[in-house]
Amino acid sequence: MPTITLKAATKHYGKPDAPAINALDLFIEDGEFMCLLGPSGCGKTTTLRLIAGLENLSGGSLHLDSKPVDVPDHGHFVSPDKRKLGLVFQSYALWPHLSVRRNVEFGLRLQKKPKAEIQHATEAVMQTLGILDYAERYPSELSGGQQQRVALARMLVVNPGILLMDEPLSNLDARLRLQMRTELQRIHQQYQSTLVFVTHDQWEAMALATRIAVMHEGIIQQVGTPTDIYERPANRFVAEFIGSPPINMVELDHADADFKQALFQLLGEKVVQQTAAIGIRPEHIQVTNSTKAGTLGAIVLSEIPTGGQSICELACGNHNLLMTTSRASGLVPGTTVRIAIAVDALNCFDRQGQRISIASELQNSGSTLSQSGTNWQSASLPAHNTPYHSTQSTTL
Amino acid sequence: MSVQASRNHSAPWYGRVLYRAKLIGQEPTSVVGLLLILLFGWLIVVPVISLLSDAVLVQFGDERRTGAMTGEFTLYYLQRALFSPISELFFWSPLMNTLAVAFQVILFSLVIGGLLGWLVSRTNVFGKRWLATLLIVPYMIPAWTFALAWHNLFKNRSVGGQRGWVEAMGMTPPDWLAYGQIPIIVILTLNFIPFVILLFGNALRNLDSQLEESARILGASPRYIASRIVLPLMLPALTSASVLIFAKVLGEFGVAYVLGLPVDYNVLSTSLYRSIESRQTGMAAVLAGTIMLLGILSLMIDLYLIREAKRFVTLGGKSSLKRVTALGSWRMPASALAWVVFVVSVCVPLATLFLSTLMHVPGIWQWSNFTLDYWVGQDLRTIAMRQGILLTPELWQVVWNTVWIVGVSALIAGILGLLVGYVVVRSPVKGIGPVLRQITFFPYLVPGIAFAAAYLSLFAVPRGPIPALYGTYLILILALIADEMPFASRAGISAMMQLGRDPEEAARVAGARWWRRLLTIIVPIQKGALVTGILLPFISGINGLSLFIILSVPSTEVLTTYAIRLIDYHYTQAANAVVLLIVVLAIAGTLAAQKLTRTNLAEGLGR
Repeated sequence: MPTITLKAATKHYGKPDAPAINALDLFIEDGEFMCLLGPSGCGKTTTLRLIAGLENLSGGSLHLDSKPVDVPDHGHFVSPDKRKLGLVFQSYALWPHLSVRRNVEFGLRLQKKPKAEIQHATEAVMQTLGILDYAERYPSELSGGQQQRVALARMLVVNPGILLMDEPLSNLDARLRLQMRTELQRIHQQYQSTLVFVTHDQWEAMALATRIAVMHEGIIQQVGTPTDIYERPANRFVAEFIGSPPINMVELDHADADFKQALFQLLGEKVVQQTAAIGIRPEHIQVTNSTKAGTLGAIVLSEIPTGGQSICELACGNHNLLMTTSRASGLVPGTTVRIAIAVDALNCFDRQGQRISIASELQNSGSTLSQSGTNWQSASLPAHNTPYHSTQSTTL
Repeated sequence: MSVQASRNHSAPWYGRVLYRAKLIGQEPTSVVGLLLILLFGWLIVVPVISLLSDAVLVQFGDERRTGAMTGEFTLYYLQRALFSPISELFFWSPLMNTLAVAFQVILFSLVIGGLLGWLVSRTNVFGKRWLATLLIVPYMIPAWTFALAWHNLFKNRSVGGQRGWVEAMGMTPPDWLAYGQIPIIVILTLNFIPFVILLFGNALRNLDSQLEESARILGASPRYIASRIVLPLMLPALTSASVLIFAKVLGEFGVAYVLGLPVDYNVLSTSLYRSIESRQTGMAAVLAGTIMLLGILSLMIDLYLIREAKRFVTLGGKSSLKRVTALGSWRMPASALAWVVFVVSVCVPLATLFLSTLMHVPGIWQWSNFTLDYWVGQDLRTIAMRQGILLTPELWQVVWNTVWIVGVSALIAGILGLLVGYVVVRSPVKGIGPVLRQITFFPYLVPGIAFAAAYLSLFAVPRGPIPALYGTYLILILALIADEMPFASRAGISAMMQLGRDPEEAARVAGARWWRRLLTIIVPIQKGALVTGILLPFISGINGLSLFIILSVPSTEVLTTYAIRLIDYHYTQAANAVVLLIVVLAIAGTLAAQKLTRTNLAEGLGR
């Protein structure tokens, strides 16, 4: 199965100074489940359409395996149907005038396959997706979930090496979405294809992808595993885009003296001087009984129960922090509590918004910090599972 | 990674060119767009330019008058049309007549149509649902049909042929009632009332009655609400209706021809017709140019007003509430008024035409006076037309002509319209879309009679590889296609706007090439729009008079010109029968179009 390589890929629509995609480098491994994630207008769909060949590059190159399929400078352009890929549109794009069967067999008919083979392949794939019973219906007579399956069947029947999906789950209701997620994973395993998936839904990306490329304003902000992206965001955009409730971003310029003082002690002067903002995930704040140095006083502003967990808003000095707790915390608005923050889960960003590695500094300053990756893993589990005052974290 | 990075310094010089060529090969939309621009440039732009240039170039035969050679630049025609002893008769008085007719028609149809529009959309008038449909009927029938009915009713001895109904009943209508400005205004007003009802009624329908109710809660009287809330919000619809009526009156030929001719009452279009008939090409060009200029001006005013209005008019209101106003003691008179308008504008004219085909002498209500001879009689004791119209072979020849000429051009126009829609919506090259949209809309600004004059001017003589087309079917078909493109391309564009790219791109990924996608995806999905794009031009083509009357010759005659010729020869009954055939075709066509497209002209009114 093919790899996908984009190099310095640029796409603009007549205005070179306002590119939809800007000098994008991306390598997608054979058999990978890659998710392009970003807010609307970030260029993720354009990237997908470029790979599909529905758009053409303004500059740079696109190779499938080692074959150049879109290299403007060298005059290479391979039409979409010759790229051996399948595409599921957000709207499904089923042809309303053709029955389900006709929709699915369209591609095979164009390839002028023998009739028996077409019928066999079509019915096999419809069977797999559980839509064989609807074969003679028209798309308008199907529910959203069934239409989705027809779109998948239509893509899979030609056995493409690359599967491209543009927000395929966004038009489904919550329950169906969960079901289709499982289905997509199954399809990915069964067909062993390289799968590229566009979404603006971070949970979907986290749940499905082997790697995620976070995009913003036509530029890839970070490529990494879901854990990487969540725990070690490369910049402020990624940190703030990923996570709900959102990360607490404290601007050090506006931080009060207590807060800064504590940071100096903990991270060392060098780091703090480089740092413009600190990101703290809501689950990395915990109410503590300890009053030792490093804990902070905070006033409870409100508590919103959201079923499994509950979200507290706290006023800590002159900034507001969100904290998630495992269940109703019983905190009374207006009361003062002491909070502890998991230090090894802190994200420091410089003035350009880029991540600063703090691991070495923490060790220098004497804080206990084990190997960053594994340690982080436990801290990122739902907060109630992690004792903050263990050796894995340091109170601030 | 086995991929070599592509860098500019290693790029061959032909790389980008090859790339472009490959893209165009796969996506020939822009190429098709350019071809369409060329086609419509030839069908629409060139004729118009050729016509306008005739106004300032010396025409064949005018060398001695102008003192210059054929084809040289001259201001002779402009000077003669505008500032010579004949210019009053030829230009200024037709211009004044046109403007006088237009403004009075606008005034009356706005007042009556506005009132009726309000009655059928917002009040509890009796028989509202029926009225909503019936009042629209005149919209489906060509205006000159009504002129003919009027002629049958009121004509006096100023013209030959049969007596009029009123005269037959013992009263002689004066000339001012029988011919000229007043009947023309009445007929055109009746014809444009449905237009106002449609535009104004739809605008009223979109007006949320919460707007009125919130004013009422603040203590505003109904009159205050009407003048300060409703009317300002309706202003765009009203001005739009006025401008469109103006543009249509400019090109209206048949009514003025039937009712103006006997008393030498000329408007611009009839004056143009006369100068074409008398081979004054240069003069005709001046008149046609004037009509076009006025048409373009009025449309530009409309566009400007619509843009201004967009700033405050909020259309759409899906959930808007429609409150029905109880008319109280006015319910009876208001209902009577609405029904009277229906009777006067539909029943009386059609009944007149129909009865006159059944009577030897009009207006005599005796059993012996009734006959079917004019439809199916044989060996009649008349000089010509010795058999009923249905037994006249000429009629069937003309019906066949009409159906195939109009049919072929409507079919081509519909297909081109969809293609134009496709290119306008999909063309990746900037400029092609807008240019194509403007060109295909242009004939709307050019009244049919001026357009026909343009075709005559261009194709009457051989030009380059194209032989002289005058007198052939081809010139009619080409002119009809061009004339119908505004409707066809609008239908195509709006249909394509609603169809996303996805179905087509899905087919592209599956391996379908451009033409294949067009035939297997676009056309089947747009079947309905395509049928509309063919049927609407077909109806307007069957109704149309002004194009044919200039471009038809006896061998290429169609129903409308046949009817006019019968009128000119005073075969009143036969002419009326032909006109009724046209009316039946037009109404049936409109109903079929509504059925097929599941739309309703009267939709929204009376619900």
